[in-house]
This record gives sequence, C-alpha cells and structure tokens, in this order.
Amino acid sequence: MKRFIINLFIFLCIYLAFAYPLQWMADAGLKKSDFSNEYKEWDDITKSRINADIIIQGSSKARLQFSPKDFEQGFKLSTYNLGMDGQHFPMQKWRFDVYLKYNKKPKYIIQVISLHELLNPEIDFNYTQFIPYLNEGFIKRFGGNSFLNDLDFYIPLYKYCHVTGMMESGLSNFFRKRDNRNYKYKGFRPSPLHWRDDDFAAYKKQNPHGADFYVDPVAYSQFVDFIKTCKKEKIDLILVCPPTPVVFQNMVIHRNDIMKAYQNLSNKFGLKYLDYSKDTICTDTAMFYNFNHLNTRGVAIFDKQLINDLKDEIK
Amino acid sequence: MLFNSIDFVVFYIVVTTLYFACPYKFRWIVLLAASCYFYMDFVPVYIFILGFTIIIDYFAGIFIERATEPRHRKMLLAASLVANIGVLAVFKYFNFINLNIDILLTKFNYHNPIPYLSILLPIGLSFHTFQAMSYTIEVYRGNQRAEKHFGIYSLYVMFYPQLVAGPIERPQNILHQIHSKHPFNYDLMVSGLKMMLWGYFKKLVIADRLAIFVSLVYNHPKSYNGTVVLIASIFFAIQIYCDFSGYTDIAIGCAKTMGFDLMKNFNRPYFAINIRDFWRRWHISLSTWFRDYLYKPLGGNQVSHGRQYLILFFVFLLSGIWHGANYTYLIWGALHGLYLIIYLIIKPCLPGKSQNAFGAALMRTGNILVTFTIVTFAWIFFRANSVTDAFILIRNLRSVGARPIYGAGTNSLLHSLIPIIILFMVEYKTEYLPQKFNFFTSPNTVVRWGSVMLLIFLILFLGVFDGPRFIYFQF
Repeated sequence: MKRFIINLFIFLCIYLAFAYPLQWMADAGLKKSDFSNEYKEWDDITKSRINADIIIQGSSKARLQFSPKDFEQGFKLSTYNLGMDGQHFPMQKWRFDVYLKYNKKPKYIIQVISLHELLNPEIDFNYTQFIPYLNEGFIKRFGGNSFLNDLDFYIPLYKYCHVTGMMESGLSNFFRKRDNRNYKYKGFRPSPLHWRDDDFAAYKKQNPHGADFYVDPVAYSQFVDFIKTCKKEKIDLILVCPPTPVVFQNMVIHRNDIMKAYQNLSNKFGLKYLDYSKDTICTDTAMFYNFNHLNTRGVAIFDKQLINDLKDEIK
Repeated sequence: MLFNSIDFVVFYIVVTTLYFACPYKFRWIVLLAASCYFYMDFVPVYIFILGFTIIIDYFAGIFIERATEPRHRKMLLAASLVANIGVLAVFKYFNFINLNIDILLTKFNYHNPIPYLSILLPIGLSFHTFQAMSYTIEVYRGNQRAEKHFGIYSLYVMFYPQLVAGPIERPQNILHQIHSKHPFNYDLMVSGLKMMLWGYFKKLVIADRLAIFVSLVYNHPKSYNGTVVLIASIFFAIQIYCDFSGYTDIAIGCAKTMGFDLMKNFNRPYFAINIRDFWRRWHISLSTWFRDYLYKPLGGNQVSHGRQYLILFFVFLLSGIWHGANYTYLIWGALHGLYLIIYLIIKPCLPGKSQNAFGAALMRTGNILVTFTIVTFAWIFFRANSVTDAFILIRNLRSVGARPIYGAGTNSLLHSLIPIIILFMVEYKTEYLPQKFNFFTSPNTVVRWGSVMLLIFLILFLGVFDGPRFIYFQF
C-alpha cells in the first residue's frame, strides 16, 4: 500500500507538471479564439482597456441594438457595450462589478431593460465564456454556481471536460498568430437578418397561451441595490426599454405589471426612463429580425432617435 | 451513476478506500451498501424490483438444494425462472407485446382494452436477471452450493462494477471470491487502474466521438448517401465495440483493484475469422449464457442438423430480443442466427489452411474482412431507430461511391481517426504479437509511466465528456 501511495503521489506530481503549462496554453489560445463570442470583451475588461464614459449594459438586447460608435459620434464620449447574450440582470451586474475592479467608473450607464431582465438569476447559459478566466481570481466568487464546480478550479485541465473540443480549440489557437475573436465593435454587432413570419408563428405555437414573464425577487432586489450604488457613486443611470414588435407585445401576459415595476423604480429614484415599446417602429416587423431584437436597419433608426432623445441628459 | 462521470470517479475512490480500510469480515457490507447506492442513483424505487428477485432466488436456491424429490426441485427452479422472466416481461416486453396486439386488433376493427404501462425500464434489468437465473440453474444442476448468507448472495447479484451492464457472471466464478479475503495487492491495483483507463479511452475518445457522427446519419437516414451510410455503419461497429468493451474494461478493472477477477467479455471480436469465431469473442458472458442454459439443454449439436439449425435460430432470435423490445433487435438476432446456420452448412466446403505463410495470412485477412462486413451489416438493424429506417439506410447504400455529404460532425470524424488507429494497433499487437510492445507493463519506468500519462492526456484532449450513456445500459 505504501509503495502504491508513493508512486501515485509521484505520478500526480508529474501530471501537474505537464497539466499546468498545458492549461495555461489552452487558456491563452481560447482567449483569442471564437469558441465563445465574449472572450474579446472579457479581455478588454480584465486588461483595463475600456475606461469608458458611457457604459451600455443589458442582455443581447443591449449587445445587438446599441451602437457605441453612434454614441461616441453623438456625445463625443467614449462608449462601450457590455451587453451579454442570454444573461439576466444578476449576471449583468456581476460583470459590471468586475468591470469596476479593472476600469474607472463611467459617468453614465444606459441600462437596457426588458421583460427578461428580472427573471431567475440562475446562470447556466454560455458558460464557456468563463472557462479560460477561472484561475484569474475574479471569477472565483461564482464557484458555487450550477455551471461550475470546485473541481474546475482545482484540477488542472478538468474545466475543459464539460465541453467537447474546448481544450482542442484552445491549444490549436495558441499556436496560431491570427486572432480569431469576434468582430464586434466595443461589444456591439447588429444582426443583418430579416424577420421571418414562420419563425414567429413557431414561437406562438410553442406558447399557445401567451408568453409569460415574471419578476424574480432576487433579481429585483439586486436591481434596486444597483440603482442605489449608482446613486451613491454619482453615476447617471438611464433606463431604456428598446422597441419590441407589437405582435410580440400582444402575446405577453404580464407585460404591464413588469413595465410598471420599472416605471415605479424610475419614479422612486428619479431616474430617466425611456420606453420605446410604444414607438411606431414597433408596428413594422421589417425593422426586427426576431420578436426580441431589431435588425441592422432598425438599429440605425432607433439609435439615431435614442441619441437625439438623450441630448439633454448626456453632456 | 454513469462510469463516465466525475461522480463515479469520486464514488470509486471513496468505496475502494473504505473497502481496504475495513476489516475483512465487514467488506461485503461496504460493497453491498456501495452497490445499493450505485443502483439507486439511477431510479431509487427500482431497488425494490431487484430486492424482489434477490429474495425469490435466494430462497429458491436454498429450497432447491434441500429438496430431495426431482419434481420439487424442478418446480422450485420453474418458480424462480418464472419470477425472473416475469419481471423482465412486465418491464421490458409488456408494452411491446401490447402494441402488437393493438396493431393486430385495429386491423380487424377491434379496440385493444389493455392499457399501456407508463414505466421506465430499470437500468441493466436483463443483465442482473440473467445473472440471478444462472445462480438458481447452477444450484439446480448441483454445480453450485446454495448461498446461505443473504448479504453475500445479494452482493453476487448487485456487485456494482458489473451490476448494470455485465459481464453476466456465473456463481462458480464470483461467489467464492466474495467469501475470500482480498488483501491489497499492488500489481492488481495498478493493472486494474490501467484497465479502467483503457476503458475510458475506448468510451470517451472513440465511442462517444463516433457517436456524434453515427447519430447524425442514423437519425436522418434519408439525408445521407451510400458513402456516408457506409462510413457511419463501419463507425457504429467500432462505436458499439468501444462503448461496450470500454464499459467492460472499466468494470473488470474496477473489480480487479479490489481483488476480484471478473470473466472476460470481449476478445478482439473484429479479428474473428468467421461468424462462429465472432460469437466466441463478442459479449462472451451472454453468448456462453445462452449456450449453457438454452442451446445445450435444447439439444445443441447432439441432435440432427435440421433441428440444430432450428435451435440455433431460436436462440439467436431470443438473443436479439434480449437486447430490447423492438423488431430491429429481433432482425439483428435473426441475421446472426442465419449467418451461423449458413456457416455450418458451407463449412465442409470451405478451403483448408493454406500451406504457405503468405497464403495463410491472405486467407485470414479475407476471412476477417468478410466476417466484419456481415457483422457490420447486421449492426445497421441494431442501430437504426426503426426497421423502416434500416431499410432506407440499406437502400441508400446502393449509392456508395457517390460524393459523400458530410454535415456537422466532420471535424469529429477526422479527430476520431487517430484514436481508432491506436485502438487497432493495440488490438493487433495483442492478437498477433502478445509478447511485444507492452508499453503499459514495460520494465522501463519511463515507457510505462509515459504511456499511461499519454493516455490520460489523450482522454482529456480528445475525450467527449458530455456524450451519451453506455449503449448497453438500456438493456
């Protein structure tokens, strides 16, 4: 038994001697790969490359619809879009906390709000974006969440085992000179796709009794805390509800209650609140590519209008 | 709990440590408790079904041994077999039979009043039921003393490494091992761990990678031309071998580390030179079960040729349906039955061994290729989602040679080739050069440790960790 334990110990040491450098290489390779479309933004955040005056925050509704270039031209202030695909407010807030750790605080935050923002804070979507950063300290606070377990942090190379091809992609990218990361501009890239009636019909078929959304109490209290922090830090927080097609709005069951919750919060804390869900653009499905997002054409029109509406607010 | 999960790795380490830390007389308790936990991790309530068959067979064994009248012994054996087969029939075949009754009655405009059962198939039901049956049969035959210790008997049926997908053990091989003392043995521990590692390589790197491509083709049979179907079918032959023998390697290796010697289940089946040879090498524990408990008692080769062929065909039909209540498995079994009958008929006409080495090698290669081809053809039925799908795939095979159409999974396909080459090199070496290139057991520490380390990194680098569960778990 003693011989076995000694040999096992030596074997593990040899494993670690090979595994740690390999993990470092795979992490470095992944960060310049397109395995997740968020690596470029995480790199910008953690390498303190943003330091923007205006931060746009939200889910994909932010990422696909708010152009930092237009904001920079409109306000002459540096702008960055922190929108994260598929993530609800608690995750957005966490990313903003990480942002503040490495970058100066912004003057303005445009918080994109929608029916999805205050849903359950469970984070299990697109977690491959975190894998190469697991051993960099800032992500350890999420160790207890469903998408990661402690072994991911402590056993080298184990963290890649959740997703097929991840380590492969990291190592092969490590030896490439070319940067394969996404082509977003400061976190923003609109979609050139067009509205498809059959896609929406399929969505309606999936939700024959209408689409139901709700306000999760944990997400709500985090949202309130965030507003208070912004007040305390003297960051101007602006709530913007982007356009959504009327055909979709009509099938949402508790839409008014959720929008009222945002309205009440803006009244209570004296926040600027812009709601474009009643705008004429919402009646034209040609401006959207799905029931949640504007397409390139819609974004150009909407951003122009938004910047105009914010002229008095952002100086 | 799946063997290819981190939960199992933790479970294995804890159980093995506890096993060796416990005094000998309590070790069966550790293993039995671990086996219960292992089984209950799938669907906890099904432990009662297992408990039911264990109780029946435990008492059946004791009473069969005590009974002096042959008639009583026969009745007790029949009661035990009926109970075991009854459980199988209810959970595995009831809905299938009911569906066929339904179809038949509908044709005559009658309504089938028998409702369907909405139950999940208990994991590994066919395996542990067959293992339990082999116990009562062996006690009946007088080859095995009835086990008086209920805990030890329960462990015989439930021993976790082979509980859900075999090997289907015989009581003569395993019961005395449970009674024996197994002190820690360095060599057994190391070779067991290496065997497990090789099993993981087969499962995670080869089987689950190939599964991506195979599933793509077999789930959309109309979308792919002959070349793709051919590649997918060959890959499925390799996938199912690596999946099942990978599981078996993990099971045997796992038992070995604790000092248990489970029976061999695979012996490089794709090096078989004829279909009979294939069945001596493939799923040995099941084929010998059918041979010992069905084929031979029905007459085996001691009867006329015609009757022998009928018995063979019947046994293979049963072997097919053993895998699952589906016509695809039935056809697969029937095909293998036919292959064997044809082989037995033409065997006297087959040429003898070639006198020169080159001729012998050429003939052997040809035989291996023919056997692999017919076995792969039968796998089409085994893997297809339905008989209709199988025939679509076979019809598509006519367009072999046309430009292949690859979809998603092509990358996976390319990455599969290196591990497949490694597998066949290892299998070839073991088959024909058993004394050479033994990297895993080399006296040179660098070579020995290096090969193990390389295998670990290959698993981490090329493994599919979110892949499907073991194919044979469903049986």
